[in-house]
Amino acid sequence: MSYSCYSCHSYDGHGGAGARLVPMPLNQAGFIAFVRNAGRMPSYSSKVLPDEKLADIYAYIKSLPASPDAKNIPLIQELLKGN
Amino acid sequence: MAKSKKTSVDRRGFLKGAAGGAAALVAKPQLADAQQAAQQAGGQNSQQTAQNRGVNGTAAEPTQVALARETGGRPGGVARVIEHPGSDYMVDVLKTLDIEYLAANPGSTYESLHESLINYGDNKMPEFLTACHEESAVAMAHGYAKIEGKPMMALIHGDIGLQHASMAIYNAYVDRVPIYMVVGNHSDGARRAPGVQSLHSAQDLGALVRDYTKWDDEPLSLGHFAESAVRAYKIAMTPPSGPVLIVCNAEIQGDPIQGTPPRIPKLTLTTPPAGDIVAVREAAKMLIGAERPQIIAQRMARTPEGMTLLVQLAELLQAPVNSQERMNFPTRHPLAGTGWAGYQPDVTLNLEVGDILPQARTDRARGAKTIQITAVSVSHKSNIQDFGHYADIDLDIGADAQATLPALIEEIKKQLTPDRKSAFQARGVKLAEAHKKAWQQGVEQAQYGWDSSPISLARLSAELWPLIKHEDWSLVSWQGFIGSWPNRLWNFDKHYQYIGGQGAGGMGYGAPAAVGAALANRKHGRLSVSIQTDGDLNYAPGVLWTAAHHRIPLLTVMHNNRGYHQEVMFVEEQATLHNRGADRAHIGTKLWDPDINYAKMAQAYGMHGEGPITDPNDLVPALKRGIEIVKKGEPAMIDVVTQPR
Repeated sequence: MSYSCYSCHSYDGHGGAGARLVPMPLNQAGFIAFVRNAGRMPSYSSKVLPDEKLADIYAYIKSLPASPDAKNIPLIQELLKGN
Repeated sequence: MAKSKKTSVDRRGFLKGAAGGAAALVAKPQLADAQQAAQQAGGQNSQQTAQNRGVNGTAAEPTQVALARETGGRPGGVARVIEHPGSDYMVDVLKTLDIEYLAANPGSTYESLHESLINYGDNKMPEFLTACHEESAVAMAHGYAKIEGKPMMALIHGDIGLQHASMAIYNAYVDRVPIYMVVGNHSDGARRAPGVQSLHSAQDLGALVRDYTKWDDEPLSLGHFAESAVRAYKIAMTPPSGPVLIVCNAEIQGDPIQGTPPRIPKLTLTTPPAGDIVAVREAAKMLIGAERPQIIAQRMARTPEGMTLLVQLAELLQAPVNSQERMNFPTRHPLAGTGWAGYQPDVTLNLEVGDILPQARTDRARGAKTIQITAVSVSHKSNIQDFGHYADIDLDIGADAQATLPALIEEIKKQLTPDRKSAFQARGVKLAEAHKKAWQQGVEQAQYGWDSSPISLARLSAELWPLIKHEDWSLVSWQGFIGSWPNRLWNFDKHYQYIGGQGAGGMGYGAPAAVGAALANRKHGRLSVSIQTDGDLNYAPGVLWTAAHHRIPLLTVMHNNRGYHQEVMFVEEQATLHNRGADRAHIGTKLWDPDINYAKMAQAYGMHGEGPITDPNDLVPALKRGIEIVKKGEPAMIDVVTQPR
């Protein structure tokens, strides 16, 4: 929330305008490198988001629970039948 | 101590004295305004208002009636009855145009017409809907027209009302939607009272919005009104459709009809412009020769017939259809989409696409050909840049796309050889497989954030679908800010099931357009559903009252992400661009602290309101309650607190 990541990635990292962060596919170093030179999303320099804070954010993202599998969501299974 | 009666002067006495004293300066008999004006003109023809001026062309002395209006007193002994005002005739004209409804926020510049509409016209055809803002009135007409395929009227008060309405007019203009607007004006400077009437009038009222209306006129007589009123409707409906404006002179409204009313001309709609046959043949040749054609449709299907034609064309060519903006193509059709992974079109057919530049650049980069069919090529203005960029394209057919499709389909049938048909069929099989796979993946993605609180838009859309799919439903809100989840999960196969967005990106369209579309759906017995963004609703929430008062059945489900979220993201982007933290991007963008309670807002406006709902497991019971109320003919609001996007 503090760094407004939620605005694109949702409050619990499941995506929105931005990519899904949960489950996090990158290791910490990769995550930090990506945020510094993000490409599609705005990049955050170490001035505005120091490595230590990024590490905290990374740890937080890793703690977020995954979404249930589509196979286990009856409503999605109904939709997949074309209903 | 008793107050001395000699010194005390109460308000009524003061004003009576003032009116009497001022009136003594007016060396005119006590006549009705209209009669006095006619006498000043030297004739009984009160339609010659331009001549009704005082000596040396200066403003006439105020009449007793005008003076009384200014001072708040009543003129003594003035009998003033006009049983057949010009506005009655105007109502007769409007009734020939088959306009079902008008929406308006009341105003004095059209007071005579207002009265004629509700009494002489019996408040039917059109029926008067009370709006709390002129922007709402025009946006209601915008939503209505996209369902019904014909205009609704918006009645607007002078220059102030027109300024209020201008945002909505611009949206409709860019969205190419017909809106029929009548705006009152005290045009005759000699008869206009000082003060408010002057403040609300203009010399050229149409000029305020001329850059984004198709046509405007200020009739100077009843006969002129008849001609212009009928012509305006015709112009509004001719593609590219758009808003039209009749400035309705208050004097012509209020003056008595003299003699036999003028004949009302017959409305004959202009046939939509269809493409030049040589160009159509060339387009057919290019499309048949393409290995990977793609059809891109934005504002193409003006009517249900447009969808039918597009399906025919796509199936003939076995070409994928990338449908944007409106309901152009069924979402679960095997040809819906952009083709298989890596499908790079070598010919694109762009049907009523707004700004062709992005597609043209992409096509040029890959050596593809670009065909455009749009009526905007033959009709646009200069100031507002809604026509988009100039782009290098290969074939520009200046015509209405829907009207051109029959000829294009025939030409393709004529030119199609058996071997090309065979190639198309093979392509079609691959496209169908790709569509099915993409559709399945799209549905499965709804799993992400399924149990989240605030509630994901995927979950919200998924839970709504089973509750409406067996009804004759219509989504009357834009999907742009909700990740197009309804498109991914629901089965859209009818033209009225989706009306698209604002046109010009102007917020504040959503809520009133939903009410207008729901109004159109009402007589067809359809269930109108709006997934309403919170920022948009807050521009003019009074339209909720309009829906309640006029019993317009509409289920409003809030996409309550507590802010103008697009701007949250934009400011964040700027903050990082400027190498400053994004932690203050909420300033000037968020709608929190306090959180707005939309359920209470809805209740305040007289409709069922429930929420805020933050647990996805509470969604279905609340939505069911809302739907039951709407099916009984009333609007209902369910406030759902959602993820940002």
